[in-house]
Amino acid sequence: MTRRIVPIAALFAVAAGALALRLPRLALRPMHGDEAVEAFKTGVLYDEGFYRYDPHEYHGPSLHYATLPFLWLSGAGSFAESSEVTFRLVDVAFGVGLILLLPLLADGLGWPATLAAALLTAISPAMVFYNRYYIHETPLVFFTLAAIATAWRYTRCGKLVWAILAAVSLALMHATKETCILAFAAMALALAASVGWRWLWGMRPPEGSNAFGRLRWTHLAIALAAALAVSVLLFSSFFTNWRGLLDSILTFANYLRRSGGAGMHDKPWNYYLKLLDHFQYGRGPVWSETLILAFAAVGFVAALWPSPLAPRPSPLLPFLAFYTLFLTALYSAVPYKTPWCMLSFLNGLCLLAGVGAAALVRLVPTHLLKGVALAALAVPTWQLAVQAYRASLDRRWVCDTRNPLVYAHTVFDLLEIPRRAEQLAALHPLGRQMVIKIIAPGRDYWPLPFYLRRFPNCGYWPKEDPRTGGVVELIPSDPDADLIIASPDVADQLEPKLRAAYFTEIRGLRPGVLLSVYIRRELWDAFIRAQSRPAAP
Amino acid sequence: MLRFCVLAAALAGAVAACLVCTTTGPWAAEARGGQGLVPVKLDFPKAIPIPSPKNFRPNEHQEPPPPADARPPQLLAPDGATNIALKKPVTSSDDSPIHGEHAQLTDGDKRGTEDTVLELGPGRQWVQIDLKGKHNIHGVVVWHFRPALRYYHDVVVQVADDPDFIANVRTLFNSDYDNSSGLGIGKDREYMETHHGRVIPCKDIAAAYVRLYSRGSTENDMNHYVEVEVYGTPAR
Repeated sequence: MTRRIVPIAALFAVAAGALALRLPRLALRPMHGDEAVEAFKTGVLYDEGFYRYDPHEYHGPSLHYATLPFLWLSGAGSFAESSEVTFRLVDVAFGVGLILLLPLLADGLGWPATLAAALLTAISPAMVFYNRYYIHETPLVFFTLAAIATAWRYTRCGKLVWAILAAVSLALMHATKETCILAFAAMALALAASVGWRWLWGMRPPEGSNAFGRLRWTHLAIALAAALAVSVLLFSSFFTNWRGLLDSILTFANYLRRSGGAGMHDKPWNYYLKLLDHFQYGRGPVWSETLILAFAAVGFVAALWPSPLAPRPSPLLPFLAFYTLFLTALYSAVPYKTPWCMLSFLNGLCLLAGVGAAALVRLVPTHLLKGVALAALAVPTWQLAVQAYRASLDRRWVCDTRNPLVYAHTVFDLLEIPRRAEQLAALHPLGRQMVIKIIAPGRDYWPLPFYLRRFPNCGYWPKEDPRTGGVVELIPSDPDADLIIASPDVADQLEPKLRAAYFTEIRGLRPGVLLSVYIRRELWDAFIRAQSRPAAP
Repeated sequence: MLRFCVLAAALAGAVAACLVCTTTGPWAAEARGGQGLVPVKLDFPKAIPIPSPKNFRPNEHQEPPPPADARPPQLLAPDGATNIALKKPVTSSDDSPIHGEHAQLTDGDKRGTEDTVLELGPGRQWVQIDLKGKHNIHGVVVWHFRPALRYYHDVVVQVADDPDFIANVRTLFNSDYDNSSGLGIGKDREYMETHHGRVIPCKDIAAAYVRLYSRGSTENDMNHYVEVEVYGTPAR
């Protein structure tokens, strides 16, 4: 009993550490455009009970539905009363959940490797950064690991509950993000490769771990039914949009086309590996997760070849090694790349790194020397944690382009726009009911709809035809408003149409992207009168 | 006739007195519309083209991007005025800059490359130059960053007689149009960073310290300084 309690207690301590890196200052970083879009869609679901799966954009429904309990618990009566902290807490919960899932794999990895993997997952800068990001990546990684862990449990004991949980996890992967198809492919290839590998080297599965021997058709049928039920519930928006079921399949054609490249997100094949290995922009700090890559390389060897590193590798290890290898290769092969996508295979790398770290310590002969080795490993491990802190919690780096995890991110200057809107609303006779018009071609105004969610009379242009997506109105026919936020690109069309007088200021949206803010002159003058007294020196 | 002669003599005397005053007095240069002041030879770094959005319009508090062939701004100062800030001690509101050292602000290197920029933390920050004694200041030139599509907010330049900026504080430039930095509403316009930096002329102001404020930019929350030059002469 004690033998289990100690490692489980250690794992909970690691999870607490993971929470300590993920929970603080969740509102520090301005919302990324993608985060704001997802939060806005969740807001519509929360306020109006409306959700429709869109096969072209915004990914699956699981994130939005998973957010609802957080919103209920936050006490927010509506989307307008919510905060970015509530939304980001969802990803924090899934992120820490990645660590809490690991005991399910402990008899396959070994407890030392499990604890090492938990620690590396907890402090990986990329993991910490994107576990605090309201997008689909962290839930996708969680459901992927849940599918692997519960399937592994099923191979160990053959109980129906594990089969159901594994199938439901697979369904939730699908209901989270379309890139689950890459994980499905990697899982299938890894399963075939690990069976082939064991056959090639004449390895027999240890007593009682024959997965296929335990597989029962009745279990498979029930598990499949449970997975289908989950998919139907989520994609049909709880039986209100049956078209969503068909769209959940048709979407793959759309994403396949997009992944083909020739877009602004295209990058070379080694983009992710370079990002993890070494990144330094100008004289900015060096960022590196080489420790995880190096340990994972050792873990890969230990997982596949019986050696002093791992005398009797469990059947889980070859699967994990091949799965991580194939998933890394698949993500690297797709030209469309955004840095958060690497989380999927980074999770596999963390597991393998745990195996590698444990194998290296096992090689050291005496307890004293093992202690020395662990102390030596503590230094680079601590350095990873420092990087994680810097990337996610240090105001100077959280949205600075010298942070490799920052990608097309909103700049702090944008937060001045909602701040200004609040200042003006305080002076406006209608308060937050004042009229705001936002005009930016290509909807290049996100995350403003999130930050202006408390202003009900806020309109967005261009207006598009819902069927064709074509622009039907670039500029409002009567563009005058209390506050107009517009891309400088539409100034030629907008300014001749303005009848009222305005004060204009310039604000940043993203690096190199500016917005013009037009404030109705009377409102601005009232604001300046209120501001005109200088502060005490 | 006598009256006429007296009036003519008085008029001639007055004209002569005016001529003497305007050609020899300490206010001679001003009275002659800047005569006695000569253009300072400012050394600007190499121009870099800035990609700017289409239809970028000026407004009353922000200047439009200058044309690529904009003429260099001029600074007039008495003959013999030099950069009195060169190599002078610098302090700032950020004791541990994100990168760079305070001394880079007055080291004469204004290329704007990564290793010549002093970067201070987020929010309102200031840098301060100790001129080592009172000087008559005729202008300040500041380069925040290499040429880029960015506007620094709330740029305020002040001079004072003491390092705590309590005695005799005078503001030479203030682009804080909404008093968000709490130093008062400024009448100057925000400007885009170019290789010309910003030339801030002033009229023979005696001070011992120069302080420059800023509060981030349209690009990020940090505060950058490549170089600050102060042109003047030792106090009379």
